[in-house]
Amino acid sequence: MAMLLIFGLVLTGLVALAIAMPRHQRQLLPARPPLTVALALACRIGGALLLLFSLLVALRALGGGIGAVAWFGLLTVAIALLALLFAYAPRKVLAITVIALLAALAAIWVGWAA
Amino acid sequence: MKDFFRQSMAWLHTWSGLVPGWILYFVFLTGTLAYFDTEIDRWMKPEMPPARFDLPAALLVEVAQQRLVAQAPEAQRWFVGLPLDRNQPYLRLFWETADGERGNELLDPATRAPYAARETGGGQLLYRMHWNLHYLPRDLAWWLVGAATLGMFVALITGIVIHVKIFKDFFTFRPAKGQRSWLDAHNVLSVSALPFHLMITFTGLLFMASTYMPLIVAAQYGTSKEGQRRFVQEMFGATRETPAAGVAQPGVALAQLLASAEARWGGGMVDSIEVINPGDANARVIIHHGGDGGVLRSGESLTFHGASGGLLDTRAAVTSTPKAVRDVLLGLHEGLFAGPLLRWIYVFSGLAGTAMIATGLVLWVVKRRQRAAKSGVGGRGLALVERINIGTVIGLPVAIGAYFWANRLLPAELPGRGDWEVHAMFLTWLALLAHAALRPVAHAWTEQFAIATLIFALLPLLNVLTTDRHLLRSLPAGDWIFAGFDLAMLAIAAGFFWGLCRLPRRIAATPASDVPEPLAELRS
Repeated sequence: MAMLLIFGLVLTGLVALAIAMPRHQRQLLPARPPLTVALALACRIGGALLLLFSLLVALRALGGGIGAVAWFGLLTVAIALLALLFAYAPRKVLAITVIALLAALAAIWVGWAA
Repeated sequence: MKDFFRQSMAWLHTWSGLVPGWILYFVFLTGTLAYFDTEIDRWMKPEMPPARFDLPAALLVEVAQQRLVAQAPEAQRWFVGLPLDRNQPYLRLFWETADGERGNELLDPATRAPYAARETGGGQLLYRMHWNLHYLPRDLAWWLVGAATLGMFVALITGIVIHVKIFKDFFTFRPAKGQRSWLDAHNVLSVSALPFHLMITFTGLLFMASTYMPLIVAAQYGTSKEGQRRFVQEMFGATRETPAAGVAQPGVALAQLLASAEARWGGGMVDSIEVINPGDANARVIIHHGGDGGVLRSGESLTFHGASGGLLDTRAAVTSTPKAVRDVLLGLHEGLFAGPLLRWIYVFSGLAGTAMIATGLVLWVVKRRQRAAKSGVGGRGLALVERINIGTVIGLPVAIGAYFWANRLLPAELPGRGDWEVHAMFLTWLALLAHAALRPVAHAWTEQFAIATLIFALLPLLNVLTTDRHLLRSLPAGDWIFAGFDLAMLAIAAGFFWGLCRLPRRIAATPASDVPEPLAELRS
């Protein structure tokens, strides 16, 4: 459950960072004109904050040692997943990220109810 | 100035990666499989019943003691490993006599006798090959693996330095673009698992630190045997060196001492029990706590007097901070603490590292061939690397597949069948290297991808023909070790099939890439 939550946050954070990159912004939001400098910076900061938050969640939920290992591991899986998606199915990235985020929120709800 | 620096880093990256590349591929592949060592062990011994973690420790300890008293009453040391989780799935007995004779058994608590199972090295042998290699004297193997690991570490760091667009290309993989795609793949595999690669390489070196840097211990303790013994005693405690009194005295029942430990720690926490000088007046019993499930490998241990049963010493999980740091680092490498999901992530990262090495080896050949096509100078070096690449990148996995095939095909009564399984593995590897040397390059890739697809796809079928723990039974029964292994073989076969369809063209015949050669100005 905690892993699902951390993964959802990590994936969303990475996608936010990706949107701030012109190459991937063109893939994710083809209709939009390039982001303004301010908006790109906001995406980057938002993405970084999400990643930091996901690390804190991992450390809190899984303990220091395992939490750190799990965070790095999930980061690896998310980066690899995004690399494959951007290469073969860029239009699915946003949908998959939303699903992962919903699953993460569901994981919180299940964790709370349990 | 800056260009020269990056140029030399590129040169260093190429050669520190290429020269030990095939050894590193072997180390990474066997190491990755080692995360499933006990699962592979169990698949290779289908006669063993599924592991059970619910048997009471007191019963297991009593069975173990009875067997050890019968089998090794004169031993200097007994070891009993209790089945707590997948790291130790069965009750394990080990003993050592004063003459250095050793014995090893997996004991069935129901029959109070060892399980009757085929002799095999199992997954443990693949795991040990990861640093001992095979057929080589141990020390030579350790130095070879160490040198290769150092090369890996240098390659990782120089790789980071020369990866100019590391953030810009973070998620970049552009397939079907020739050399560019191989470089992208190499980069994504390296960068996405970079924390893992750095950790695994550094901690790998750390495992053998006292071999590679013996003077550090020697500076404090001297080079004499006495000095070395003192070091070991300070690190691990002196109890194991307790001299025998030479007076026979019946030891207190281990189950009773176990009860003391469980009263202190709670049930299900005892991981192993050691008995020093069993049956002697100076016997000692050390009971080990399995650890709290965190990354630190060690737990508390209790030392009892073997004859009287009195508690002599309590050793905390952390006795020295530097040792604890070392234990945490080694614990990260081994990943024994990892639950199922985290273990799969370790395997994923290990496979990424293996593929990183493979794509690096292929990339070197692709770049060289392009350069050779322009300048007309082929070079025997290029041909050599190209052939060994095929025979190793595909050949080694096929050889491991052959190891599994041999496990099912070799008769159980064959003397030394465990050794013959390994011979089958290395003979297969040799055969595929020969095939790669003799066939035209493009054909060699295609044929080896095809062989790999078949050897893994047919393994579950072989399992149906040779055992009754095959997919048609294991899936409905929820026998996840066997079902999981067979399904993993099918997945690997699917991977090689994808490779067969897509890759040989892209490796062997490099079209002139219309994307400019990266770092073209940096000759390597």
